[in-house]
Amino acid sequence: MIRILSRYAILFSLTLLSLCALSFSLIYLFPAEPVTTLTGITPQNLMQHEALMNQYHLNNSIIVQFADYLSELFAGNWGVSLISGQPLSEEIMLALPATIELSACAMFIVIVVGIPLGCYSGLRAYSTTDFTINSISVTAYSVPVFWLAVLFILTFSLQFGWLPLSGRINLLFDIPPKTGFLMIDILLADNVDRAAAFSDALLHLILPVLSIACISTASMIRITRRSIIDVLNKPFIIAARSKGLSSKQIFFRHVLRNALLPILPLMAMQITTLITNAMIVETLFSWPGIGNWLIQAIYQRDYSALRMGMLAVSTLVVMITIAIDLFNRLIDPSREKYESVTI
Amino acid sequence: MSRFSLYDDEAHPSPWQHTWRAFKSSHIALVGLAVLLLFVFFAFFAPLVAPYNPTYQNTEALLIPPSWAPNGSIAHLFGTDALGRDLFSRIMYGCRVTFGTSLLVVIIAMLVGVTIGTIAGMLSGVRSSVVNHLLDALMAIPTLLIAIIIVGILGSGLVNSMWAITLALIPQFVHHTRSFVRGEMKKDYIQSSTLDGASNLQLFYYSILPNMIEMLVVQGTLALSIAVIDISALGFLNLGAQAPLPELGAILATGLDAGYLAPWNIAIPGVSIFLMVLSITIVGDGLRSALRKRVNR
Amino acid sequence: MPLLDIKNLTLEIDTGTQVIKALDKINLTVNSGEIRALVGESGSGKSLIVQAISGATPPNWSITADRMSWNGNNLLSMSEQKRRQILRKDIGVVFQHAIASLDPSVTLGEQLEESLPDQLIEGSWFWQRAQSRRKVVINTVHKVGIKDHEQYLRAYPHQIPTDIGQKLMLAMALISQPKMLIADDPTRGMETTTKVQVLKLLSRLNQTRSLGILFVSHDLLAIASMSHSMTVLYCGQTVESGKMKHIRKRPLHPYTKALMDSAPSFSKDLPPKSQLPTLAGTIPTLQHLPIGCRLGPRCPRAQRACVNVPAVRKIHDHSYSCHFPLHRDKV
Repeated sequence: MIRILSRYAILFSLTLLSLCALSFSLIYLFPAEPVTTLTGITPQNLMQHEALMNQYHLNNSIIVQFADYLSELFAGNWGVSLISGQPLSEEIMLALPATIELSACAMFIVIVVGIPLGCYSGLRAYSTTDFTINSISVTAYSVPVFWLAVLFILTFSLQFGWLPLSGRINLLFDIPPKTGFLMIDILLADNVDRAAAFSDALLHLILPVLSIACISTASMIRITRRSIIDVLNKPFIIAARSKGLSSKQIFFRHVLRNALLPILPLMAMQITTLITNAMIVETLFSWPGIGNWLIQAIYQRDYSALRMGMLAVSTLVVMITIAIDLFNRLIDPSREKYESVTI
Repeated sequence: MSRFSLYDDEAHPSPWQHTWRAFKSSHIALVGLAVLLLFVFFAFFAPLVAPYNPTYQNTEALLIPPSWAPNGSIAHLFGTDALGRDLFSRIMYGCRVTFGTSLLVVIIAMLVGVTIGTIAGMLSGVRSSVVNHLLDALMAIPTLLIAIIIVGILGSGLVNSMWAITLALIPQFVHHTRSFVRGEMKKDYIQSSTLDGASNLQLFYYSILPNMIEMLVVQGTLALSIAVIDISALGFLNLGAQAPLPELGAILATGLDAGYLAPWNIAIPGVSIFLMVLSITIVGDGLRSALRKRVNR
Repeated sequence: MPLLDIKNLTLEIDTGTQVIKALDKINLTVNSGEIRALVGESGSGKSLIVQAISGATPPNWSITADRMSWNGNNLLSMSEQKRRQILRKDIGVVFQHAIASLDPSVTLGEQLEESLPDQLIEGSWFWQRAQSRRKVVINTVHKVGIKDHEQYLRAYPHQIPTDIGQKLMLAMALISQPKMLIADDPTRGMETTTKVQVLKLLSRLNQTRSLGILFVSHDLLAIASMSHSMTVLYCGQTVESGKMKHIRKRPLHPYTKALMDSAPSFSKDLPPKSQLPTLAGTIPTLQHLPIGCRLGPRCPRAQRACVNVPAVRKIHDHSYSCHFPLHRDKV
């Protein structure tokens, strides 16, 4: 157990190190002065340029520079944005929880709706119900996420006017951002009508989450269905039936465990796609998340923001992936059946 | 003498014929294949078939509704956009760009990924497990992020977005190829070929590759659907194809401006992307179940 | 009254292109306290019978029989619920590949405890029942010959060696104290010492508890020593059936004789370097079944009449289906 944990800790640090190295190399790869990309300050004259170079050790060898870079990162000194001049750490710390909130809600729906529907569909494989569910999920899987979001906006916001169009909450509510997670901040704020604020935030959450969740749920249904069909054909299910166990017992005790364990590695890929879709949808709904922030940054060629943002998002994603992998390793008794899982 | 054969000749179809027969038995897969072939046709022959030049702006024909609406005309089958460009020709060229670039991206990613994966799988060493974990962890970086970085370094444009998506698809191919090759190397038929004196290259070409083709086809269709969605997403965000290059996502983005007045500018490009991905997914599903039926017979 | 009574069971498999008669009018009877051996080459359909009895059949199989009853109750017309009850309490099944028949994600101890029906545990409180369950499991595991149960009960199926797996499958089948055991080639691939242990255990169970056993195998040496009666199966047809000593002394069907001859018995003084007696040819595949008596193409005594399926004839409990049995001269 300790060995597994230490292995994963080493893996995590190695991956983090390579991500930092990548972000460090961006300083030289971006088509701007290395000083600018690193600090976010455009030097006005030669003296300032020299001063900045010395301050950030950009004249020394690469190793020293990298070591310095790492120490700055851990100190929280992430530089400032080229365009807005605000410290990057603040901006990222505000934007990241918004995206996490969006993705977490979508993931919740995916798991709560996708897995039961997939199981239901798999148990009645090749029947009419299964055919219907499968067709719907194939259709939902093929819809481009940005088109779906636009359609939702056009129908539900503009045509019917039921749901709000942009932002996280109505501008009339002034919630001080303590944690960045709006739901928690609402509960922590004490000068607002909490119920009204909560329901308003919820309404703002519905459309973006629905756009993301539709596609990922469809994918989850397909994966679960395939996994259940594969397990139902295995010899030990036939043996269990010969033992005289009832269908319900067989399902909950044997089928479910053996079907869900192989799809955990696939969940990591799902989360990646989910976060990509979340980032795209944020631009359409003006949701103040990290995706919107990064895309604005690339439109304005804000190189220092890009560098830091890339590091932040990839660290988040890698953390989640390694956590899922670790979880899988701990609860799965036999690790051999990892290699071949299909949709 | 009658012409019937006294002994019933046994028909032993080859594996590909088997797969094709199983594929044919599903009607939906055939319909998907037909739609996919239509897109392939557009990809190759759009310049010959399109009625108008996609960049030709006819200032007298702005925002004409499609031909099935009351004020539409048959001259512009799908109507025109805000700059007077015929939407039908734009969509055809757009399919050409989107589908063609996706195919190219998938082929390049497959070639590079399979090479790296095979080398990693055949010459496996002690450190291969660490490399495997590292690769899996890096595989998890979102496509959009990679695209943003590459656009930041190289600038926006269709070719740069192609590089981004190729980079994003390679780790998947590497992962699957590597695990497949490692699994096959343990099998007895590879060992017997090795004992016969086959070199690694011969092993790969004659023994492993024929068995790998099925897995590659399945992964390829998956990657193709991901590539289409990603390229159109990047075009939509203006990070990929730049105007006036007709690309389905970019067409959708320009259509958004006049969206409320002219909803066909949003609906039709979206439907084309949807149909493209749907046909790829259906054909991929059909192939997968055909291959499964062949193996489980 | 026989425990298991099967008469004229036909199993048809619909492969989509053709309908194959995998089992053609099988007759099988197992009485209480009797060990019946079901012998046949691989490919003759022995495992299909086991699957048909246990009811775990895929949807493209269709089973018809004149009579298929357990203790007088018709198995075919019974409800799903009742059939499951019977399987749980009265019949135990041991499958061929032990490791594949076990759930890979559950420990063996749990799987054993699962096979125990509730009626056999005493105690009315939760923890009492759990304790007595565990006790029964440990007892049964000891009885099959596994000494240190701790290690194996905590292990997962892929961590145990195959012969321990086989013994555990046997324990799983016996734990519900069934009246009949269906053993589908339980000693396949075992070393002789383990094989002897298992066979001794089975015959002891048969004597003490009058447990009926349907022993499906093609290991003639094992079967000859302990079974009371035998049914010979060739390519989905029963060719001969009767008491073991009668068949050994005087086999009536050419196939049975060939089977008996082919089992090497090193006590017979064969002349050195003489050819071992065999039956030419191989068992036909399911796609190319001969019409009539399926041994026709291979049988040394085959004549024109063999294109019709021979009727079942009986001589004092010894039934055979052949047009030209061995006690009559070849005409």
